[in-house]
Amino acid sequence: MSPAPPRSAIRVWLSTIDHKQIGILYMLTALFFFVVGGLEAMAMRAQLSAPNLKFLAPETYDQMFTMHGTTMIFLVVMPALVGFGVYLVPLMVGASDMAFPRLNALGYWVTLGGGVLLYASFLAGGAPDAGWFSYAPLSEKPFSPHAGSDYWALGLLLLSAGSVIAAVNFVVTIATLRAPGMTIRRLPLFVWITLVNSVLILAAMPALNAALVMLLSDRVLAAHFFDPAHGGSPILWQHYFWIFGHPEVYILVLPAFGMISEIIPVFSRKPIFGYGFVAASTLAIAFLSFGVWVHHMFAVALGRVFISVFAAASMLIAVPTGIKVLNWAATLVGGSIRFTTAMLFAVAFLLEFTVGGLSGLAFAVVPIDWQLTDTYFVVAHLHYVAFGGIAFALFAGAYYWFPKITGHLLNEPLGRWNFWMVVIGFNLTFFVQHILGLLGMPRRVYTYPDLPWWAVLNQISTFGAVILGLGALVFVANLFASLAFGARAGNDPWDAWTLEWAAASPPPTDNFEHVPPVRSRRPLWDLKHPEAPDWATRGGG
Amino acid sequence: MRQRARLAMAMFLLSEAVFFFMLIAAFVYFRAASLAVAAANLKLGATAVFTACLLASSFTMWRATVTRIRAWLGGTILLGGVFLVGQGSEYLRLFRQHITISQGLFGTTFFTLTGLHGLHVLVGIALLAILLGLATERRSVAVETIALYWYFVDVVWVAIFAIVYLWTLL
Repeated sequence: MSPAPPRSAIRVWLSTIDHKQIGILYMLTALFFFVVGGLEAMAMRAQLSAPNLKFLAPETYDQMFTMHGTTMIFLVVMPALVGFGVYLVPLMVGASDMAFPRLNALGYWVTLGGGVLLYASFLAGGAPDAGWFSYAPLSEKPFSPHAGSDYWALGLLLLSAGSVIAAVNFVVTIATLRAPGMTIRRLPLFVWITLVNSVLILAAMPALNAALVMLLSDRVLAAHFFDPAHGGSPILWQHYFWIFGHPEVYILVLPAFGMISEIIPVFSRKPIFGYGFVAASTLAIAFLSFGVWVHHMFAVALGRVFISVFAAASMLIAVPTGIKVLNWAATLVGGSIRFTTAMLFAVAFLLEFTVGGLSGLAFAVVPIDWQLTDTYFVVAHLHYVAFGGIAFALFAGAYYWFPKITGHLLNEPLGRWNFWMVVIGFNLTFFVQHILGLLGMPRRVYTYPDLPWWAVLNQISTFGAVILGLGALVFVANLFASLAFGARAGNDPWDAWTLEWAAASPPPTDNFEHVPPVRSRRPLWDLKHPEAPDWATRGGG
Repeated sequence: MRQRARLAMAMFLLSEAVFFFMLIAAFVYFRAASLAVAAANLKLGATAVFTACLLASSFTMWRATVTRIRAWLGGTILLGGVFLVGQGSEYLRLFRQHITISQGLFGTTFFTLTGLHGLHVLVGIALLAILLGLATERRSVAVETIALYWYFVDVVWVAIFAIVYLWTLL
């Protein structure tokens, strides 16, 4: 039979309810918006490459940083993490699909709709320009009269609804579709963390939705929630946004932790050190993440005792995060490490994320926060967490799971180029921004005067951004080149231990012919090593 | 399937609970500034009657899950409809006194909170109407699942009634 005509292939993808295809749709959407958000960043770095430049108009620059932040968070990291989850969770628990396949498809299409709506703002009189946290009263009608902020709020409502839909599906899938023998203490850590993360999404996203509905009431119906001229309170917006916004930071980073917790053990040839601690510290992070939002608001006069409590909580949340870093590092110790590209990114994640964690800890100290808030130190900190942390983990995950998803290995020499260009470019771009922040350069201002060191540090940053951007292009090129010409992967190219590697690469529609018996945390190890299975030597967990 | 559907609804309602908690918190946040207008314009009597109707609808909803008799579903829709009519008449009365969502902080918080709750009642009625049209044997899981939503919407109203009406007027 001749291959199906192209229209039919399009219809298959448009109407699919298969978790693997939906996962791929999520990931491709994330990849597309990664390029878009990256170009927005490049436009900003071009504008900042020299003092007093007029490459971008101030209004355009405001739109760029607003869309860059919103895009990278809601249209890149969220869909990428949900995409990996939707693809991997059913495979990792030995199921044939998510609990609600059609709901799964709905979640994807709602997410895509949110992205389309957000970008439709460019055609409707201008993109939103009030920053990704859209502080009132700037985001209110008198100060942002064009429709950009309405599109921003409506787009985010849809994206948030998509996340809630995915989270509901994850919880039910993990709760009810696990293979026989896969107890909660034998779940792969990626699944464990997805479960906790889903509950975090369910609890945090509605705070954003409430704030967005209130903002839309203000803008469209002339209500007064955040309008100080009529007794409303801009500070209420800040509270509501960050009650969502700080848990959101952990919503973004926890699945990255989950990926790292799968990849480091496989390439160290050791089970993870302290599985229980990694799992429990995830719960601690999820719980504490609702008690730290005010550290985004230390510059608001809220009272010394009040902010001290939040300063203490913000330091406290570094403890469970530090425990995780310790566990990953201890997994490396004494392992026979294989430096594949996936492992390189995972180890780089450990280092870069730790730098971001430490600079974050500095912000928990109120006087340091007062000095550095709204400077480039914040930009440096958040990118060490968001790019050095989350994006590096996503790169690691891509190199690790691409063979499962496509049946082809990603090209390793290209992977090295990808890795080194991204690492060097990233650190050049953002390390100097710590110094610029300490020198007092404010974020979100479209240009700067020719002060001592400012020009040269900004030039280094822009130069780094070019290398980073090219490194990211190498990644995109590697994806397409390896899809066409990559070496055949086989079912289990990494000699790994979790159930997804027992399925074919790519897995057939129903995933498994036979789900291997699950008697420990490493069912495939048990299968390959009947002489020393985990359930005999490690008690099975 | 029953277990999965109920768990999914419970997770969705967890997120809805946070959503309404935030809206109620906003009402309370502005309470001091809006109390005078609220006390002068809200009426307890009629709203208490409509509240009773909504609570009664939880009873009929529960009967519908136990007995599978269509009339209980119809009764639930009817009582929910009466509640919405009551809320509409309350809105109309306030509009006549020139209290709207843009008039002041009371209007802003009151109409946003009760309006979004009313929208949830409306969605509930639509879902129940769909269930009425389904064949009995296909209904039971769906009825039980939607019932959770209906109870939740009623409980939220009890909280709203206590905070917006009773706290202001008693």
